[in-house]
Amino acid sequence: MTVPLISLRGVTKVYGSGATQFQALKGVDLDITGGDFVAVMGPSGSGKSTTMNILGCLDMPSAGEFTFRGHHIETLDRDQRALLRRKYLGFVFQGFNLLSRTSALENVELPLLYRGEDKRSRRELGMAALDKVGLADWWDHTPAELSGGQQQRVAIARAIVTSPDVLLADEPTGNLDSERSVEIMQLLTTLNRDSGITVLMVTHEPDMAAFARTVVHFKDGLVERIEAQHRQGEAVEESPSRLREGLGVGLSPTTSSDTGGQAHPQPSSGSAVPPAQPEQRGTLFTPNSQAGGE
Amino acid sequence: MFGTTLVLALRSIRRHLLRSFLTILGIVIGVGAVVTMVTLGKATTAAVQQQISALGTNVLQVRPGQGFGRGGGGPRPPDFKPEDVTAIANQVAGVTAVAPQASATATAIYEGANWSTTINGTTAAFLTVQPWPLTAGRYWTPAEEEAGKAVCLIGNTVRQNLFRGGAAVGTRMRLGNISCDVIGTLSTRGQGGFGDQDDVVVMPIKAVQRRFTGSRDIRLMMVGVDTAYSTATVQAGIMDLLRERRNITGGKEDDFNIFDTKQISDTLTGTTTLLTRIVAAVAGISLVVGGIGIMNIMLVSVTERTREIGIRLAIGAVAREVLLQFLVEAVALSCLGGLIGLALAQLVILALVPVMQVPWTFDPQINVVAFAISAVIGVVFGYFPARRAAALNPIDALRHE
Ligand SMILES: Nc1ncnc2c1ncn2[C@@H]1O[C@H](COP(=O)(O)OP(=O)(O)O)[C@@H](O)[C@H]1O
Ligand SMILES: [Mg+2]
Repeated sequence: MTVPLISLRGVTKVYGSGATQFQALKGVDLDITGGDFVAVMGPSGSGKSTTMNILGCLDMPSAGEFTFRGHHIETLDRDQRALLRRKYLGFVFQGFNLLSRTSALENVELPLLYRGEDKRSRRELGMAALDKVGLADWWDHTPAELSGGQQQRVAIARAIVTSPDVLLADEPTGNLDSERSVEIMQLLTTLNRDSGITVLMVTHEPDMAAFARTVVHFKDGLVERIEAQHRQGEAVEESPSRLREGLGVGLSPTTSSDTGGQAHPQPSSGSAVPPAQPEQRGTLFTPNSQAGGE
Repeated sequence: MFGTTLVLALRSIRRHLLRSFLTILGIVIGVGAVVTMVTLGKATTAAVQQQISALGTNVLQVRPGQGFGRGGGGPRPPDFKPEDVTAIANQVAGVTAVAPQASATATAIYEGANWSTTINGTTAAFLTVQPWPLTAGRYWTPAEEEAGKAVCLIGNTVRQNLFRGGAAVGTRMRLGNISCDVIGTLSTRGQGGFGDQDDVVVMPIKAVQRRFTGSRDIRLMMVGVDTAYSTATVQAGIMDLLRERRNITGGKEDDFNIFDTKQISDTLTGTTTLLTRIVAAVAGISLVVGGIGIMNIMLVSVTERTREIGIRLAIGAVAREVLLQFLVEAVALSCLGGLIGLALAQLVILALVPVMQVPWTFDPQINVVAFAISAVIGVVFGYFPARRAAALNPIDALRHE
């Protein structure tokens, strides 16, 4: 029985106050195992992005518990959350969000700057990350000189350059055509499989969600259901309450009608999901991860 | 952390060259104006002082009449007599020497070359009041002075026009209707505010009175003042004595004037210094306006770069780092503006110095001060936009269009 890497318990989020008050999340319970590839689906306005922002430590829940590696995140202040993002998280956005007039390499190096890496190791790690996304030859191109798919790959390189535990992607293929989208999904799958990065991805498209190992369905600010998918395209349906006890463990597979029979692009190799990060009850911040990293 | 921030700031400046240039334009002009104005002001003051000190400090000039351009009508007041010179020298406390002067103009001729110049008759006291070294030859002896011999010292302008680099001392030149022995050449005094001071022939006063003016009248007395006395006290002493000697009583106005070069020098210096300060203050205001310009564009820049700030915050920049980045950017910009302003000022000064006929000077103090002010402006006017950037919420910032 693995302890989840990330755990939400009764998380609510209320936007605004008074008459304009709006409850975007109404008590979300969710466990995410380290090394999983999770797709978050659901109708527009169901609270997917809100959840992602909370999971990405960009926003705070109004109530409820949020633990990362067993540490309570809801008690951290703004700067501590920033340091957490710096050390453990990588972000990919729908709109790429690269710095304009800035070369691909400099964009990728940006997180390393905040980690206080010196110029040489920034170059090395940056080029290695660009190589992983297949853009090593494009290192000196600015976003304006790159296609949408290439820009998103640069953004992924930027997200993984620090070797984060978790990669959060809110509709990463939302601005791309289907061919480019599949490329991005294959890249994320490879990263998940080979580097053991836990991937959390919001998507509208079932074709993209099919790449994931676990699909979380949101509706009206609540988790409606969670499916575990087999690599061969089989899906496992489970109730949220059972999933709390640990995803991907001891689940009896049932064939899901919408993905069944489809040629599934998931890797066919028998490689097991990398083991979840061992639970660390120590501090989240080592001394050298303090602000500035100097 | 600071090194990283500086790298980020410089990158950002380089990426937005035009915007950076527009941002610092105000500082460039402000610093340039302050440095130019103060430097040229000081140079003008120095030039004025130099011209006045060429007349001699601690020297009073006594002339008949009511001063420059006054007392038009009525009979001309009488010139001074040699007895007045002796009386002032002997009876007024604080007087070191009194040099009478009688002037005439005449054409000097030597071996076909001729030059029209001023002849200045005086006594040895002239050199006590206002030392004037020789480059060659000798001064006249007391015997020659007493006899009114036709011996002369020539100024540099006369020497150059008449002797063209050849030896002058020991020759005999024609001066008007007389012949005169050149016994010495005077060193260069230069172009004063009162014409070429080297275009002169100096002779014993008796020779000038006898051969040129034809009277014992003295048009000007140069009075040397002991440095232990104030020129004002000595001036008052001379005034009392001359009023008595010229029978000016009661409320009647003086029919002579005493010109104090030191006083004029102080007044002019004070005026130019005041002018410099006023102009520098106006230029300083433009510096502040430049600072507000920086703040303006930094604020625009924060809005424009909201998304960038969101990205930085998302990938783990803490608020302090974002604040520092924008602050360092503002300071780097304003310092850059300061440096360009200093360079610009030097160019403008170099261009204006010949036009204004003032000596070129470099004043390290005002350069350092102006640069320091530009840095301070960066901090002061960069802080507010930087704080605003640092306070942004990453989610809102990322969603910003
Ligand atoms: N900053 C905000 N202020 C007020 N309401 C918000 C804010 N962000 C999201 N909402 C609302 O919360 C609900 C959930 O939003 P979101 O999580 O973005 O949905 P989605 O599932 O489409 O990503 C929506 O109805 C949205 O209008
Ligand atoms: Mg959304």
